[in-house]
Amino acid sequence: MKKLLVSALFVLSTGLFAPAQEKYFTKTGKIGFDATVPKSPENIIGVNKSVTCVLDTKTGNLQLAVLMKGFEFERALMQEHFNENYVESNQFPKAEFRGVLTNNASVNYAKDGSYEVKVKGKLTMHGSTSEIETVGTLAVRAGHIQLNAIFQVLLADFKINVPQLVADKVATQAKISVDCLLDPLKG
Amino acid sequence: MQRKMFYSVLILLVISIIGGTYLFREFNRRNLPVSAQTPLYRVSSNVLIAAFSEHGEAANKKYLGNIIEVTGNLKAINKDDKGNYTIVLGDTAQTASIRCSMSSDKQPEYSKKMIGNPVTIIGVCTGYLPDELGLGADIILNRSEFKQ
Repeated sequence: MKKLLVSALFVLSTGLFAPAQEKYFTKTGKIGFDATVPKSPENIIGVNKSVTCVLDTKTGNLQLAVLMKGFEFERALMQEHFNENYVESNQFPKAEFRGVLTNNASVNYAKDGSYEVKVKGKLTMHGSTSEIETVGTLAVRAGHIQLNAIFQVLLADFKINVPQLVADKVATQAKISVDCLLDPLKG
Repeated sequence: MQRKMFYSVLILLVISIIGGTYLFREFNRRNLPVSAQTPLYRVSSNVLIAAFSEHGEAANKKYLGNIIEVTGNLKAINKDDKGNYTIVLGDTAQTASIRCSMSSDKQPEYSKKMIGNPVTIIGVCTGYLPDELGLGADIILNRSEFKQ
């Protein structure tokens, strides 16, 4: 009986005092880039499927890093133009976002559910940094976190120039979509 | 005079057809599978990791955007929520890895038995993400395929 009580107390204490998972990450997140306008002859859509993302659930700090050459477009010519003429990925190979969930306290990471989160931070791309503020969705599901957000970036804020010749065929404001399924970071 | 005019129109027509065909083909050109192209460099995973971690700028100039063939130990097989596979190459003792995002057109059968064995992968080098987030540094290869 005493043995059973001790065992029960041990199980209870490990459950109660086990440190809660704080950091979540992925290296296979997705970011979409869409600069299509009604006059575009084709959809100008690129997808990167190797996005690194880390979320600290304690502080709400969120970081994303992505390699610009990793954006894939349906047409090779579009991909070449994106890399050579717009984002100049040889010179600026990486883009990153460092921000925070400003309403992190309203998320209950211990319980499955979906939450609207406000994100604020700095996006660095093409050698320029600009402040980004957007609203996204955070879903806690079976020990994983699904992050989704869609926001617009003004290409001029990052010194990305659209040539006059194609000015009416390429959006000056690109739509960025983020889709990351985060796993708990062990160790 | 009429003959001269005829030839001028004919030449213009031929130039227009050739130019139009070239532009049409160029506009609709797709990325060729990496297996249909010759890799520019053949390296081991350790050499590639050392090149990027020790001489990042030179490695970027050499490998960025190029098709490369990498041989190394298969460290892990990751499948994401959309069914895309990533093959991770490198030494288990090292935190740095080569992450090969596999082509969705050619998905071979992945088996956990492959882990720990040497494999050769061809892919497009998209660059290097240094270990700034505490997750280990990564060299990323896109549109990757196993060497047949």
